[in-house]
Amino acid sequence: MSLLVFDGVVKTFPVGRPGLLGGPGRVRRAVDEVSFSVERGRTYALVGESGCGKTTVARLAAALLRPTRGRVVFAGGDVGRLRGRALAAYRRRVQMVFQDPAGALDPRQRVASAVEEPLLIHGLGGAARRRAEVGRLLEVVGLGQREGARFPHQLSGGQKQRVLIARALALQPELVILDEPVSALDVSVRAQILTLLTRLQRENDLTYLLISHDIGVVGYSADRVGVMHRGRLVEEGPADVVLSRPAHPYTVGLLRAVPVPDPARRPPPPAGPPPEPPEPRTDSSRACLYAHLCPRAARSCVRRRPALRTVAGRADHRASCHLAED
Amino acid sequence: MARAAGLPMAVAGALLLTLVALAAVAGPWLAPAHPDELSLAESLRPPGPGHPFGTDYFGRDVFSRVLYGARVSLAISLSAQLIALVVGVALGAAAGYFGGWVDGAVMRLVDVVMAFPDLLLAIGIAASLGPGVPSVLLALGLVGWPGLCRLVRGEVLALKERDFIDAARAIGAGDLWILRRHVLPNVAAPILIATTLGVGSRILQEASLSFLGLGVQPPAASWGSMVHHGLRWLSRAPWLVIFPGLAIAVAVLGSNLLGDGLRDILDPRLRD
Repeated sequence: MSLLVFDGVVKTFPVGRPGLLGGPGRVRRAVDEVSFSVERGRTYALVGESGCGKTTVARLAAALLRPTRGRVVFAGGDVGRLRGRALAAYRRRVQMVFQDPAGALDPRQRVASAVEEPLLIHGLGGAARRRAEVGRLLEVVGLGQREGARFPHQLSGGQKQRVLIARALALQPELVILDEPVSALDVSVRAQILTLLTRLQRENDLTYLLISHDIGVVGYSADRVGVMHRGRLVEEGPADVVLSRPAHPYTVGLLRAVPVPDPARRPPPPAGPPPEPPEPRTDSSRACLYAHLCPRAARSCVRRRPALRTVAGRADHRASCHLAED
Repeated sequence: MARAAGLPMAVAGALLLTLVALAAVAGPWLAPAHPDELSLAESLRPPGPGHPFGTDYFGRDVFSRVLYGARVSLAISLSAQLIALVVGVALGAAAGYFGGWVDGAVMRLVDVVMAFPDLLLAIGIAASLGPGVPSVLLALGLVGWPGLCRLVRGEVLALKERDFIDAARAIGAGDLWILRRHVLPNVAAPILIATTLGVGSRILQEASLSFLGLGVQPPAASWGSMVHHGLRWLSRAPWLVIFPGLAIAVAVLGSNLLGDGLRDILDPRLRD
């Protein structure tokens, strides 16, 4: 059953100042007609390069932003319409772990107080119960009393991310949005945090929406993968299928960009001439948004923008590429 | 380096202010005479053993009056600064945090108030409300808040973009909670510095208003009103002006030193 559904979601941001008479200014589509659904208890991963709109998707899901068009549906309810008390209730069920753990913690708040804060806001338990719960949460993420009494700047990056994870778990949410949970961390710490997240998912029956630019992280933990490019979902399907048999040239490029330590196992460099530099005009035209970078671009790619369609043979694998259609 | 220079300054300022505060609190025990006690036989005595700061035309002991004046001056300037603090922080935080029309309205108001020279505005307000302590309080409070408001707005604007504000919203915190728990604690240091520095300005402005006869009314004395009344005797009895003037200087210097010292210690970034 789908816990979270994005249904044709568009989010635009104003660019520059509106006209002198308050007329509509220029807008940029950060998220463009994005649709996907996250199944309960599973991990859905969104990948793409920076600026592709995946963090905007995370913020839309966390109700920190409202969609310009389309609907974000959680457990059957329209998230964009939530106000006041209903919004507070939503935030008990949906939590977010931020990309930069140093920035997401108040520098003047001690760790224990940061973890206690969600319980305090939602009026859960008395002082003694809350203190016990904070102790339990810190222990769950591998921290102790000592860390609880510290300020964020006294902790390592990995410890800070553990604090944020403990804080996100405090309200026993159903869905946790992980916005680049390990990209700010040292490589040596990443695996620990990913293992912790996997364990917590199993133990607490959590659903994850994982945002990452690192397709390696995605391969580690995702059930389904969505690939974003310039605000649009260009490919979507089961993780093993998308990662092993990508249908969209952009996904192919992303996978090829993953560094492989062993030179003998590296794939051969891409054949043919390097892609042409981006042509800004394709943006307003009807061309495929990837056409100017695509090594396989055909004439049809410039004439008509491809829609997200099922890839031959699988109903749960979709890609927006003319060349992937049969 | 900044810290090293800041500490002695802050300590010196704190000592001077402590001296003034001590005079205000312990005045009744330190004063050799009641400040309003008349003794025409001892009119206009120069400073000497019986009267360390001399006496005025009515034979009142100037030292005692300066001690009691500390009470009036400090009470009025601190209360006025408190008014400025509450109004400035509340409006500045609201403007910076909510933005939009709130920000526009508050900042235009700030622009209007700041368009007038501080002292002229205070004189205008106090004069139109009539002399007396309440009108001085109101006048000084109104003059003091725009600076704090601008400062707080700027700090809050910068703070609002930080992730931990969004993170607080994501755990369900409301606007007031975020302002109280996350915004204000993080702007406390600059507010403290500006408030301390502001006290000095308030002391000076209170003295100026009292000097013009708009402040406390006789027989009560503040330093400013003592200078005002002593001016008539300046050539015959300069101590009537010198000692209250010195008291003003000490108090203002103390608050400026403390404020500048705190600035260097807490927030090197704020130095000019």
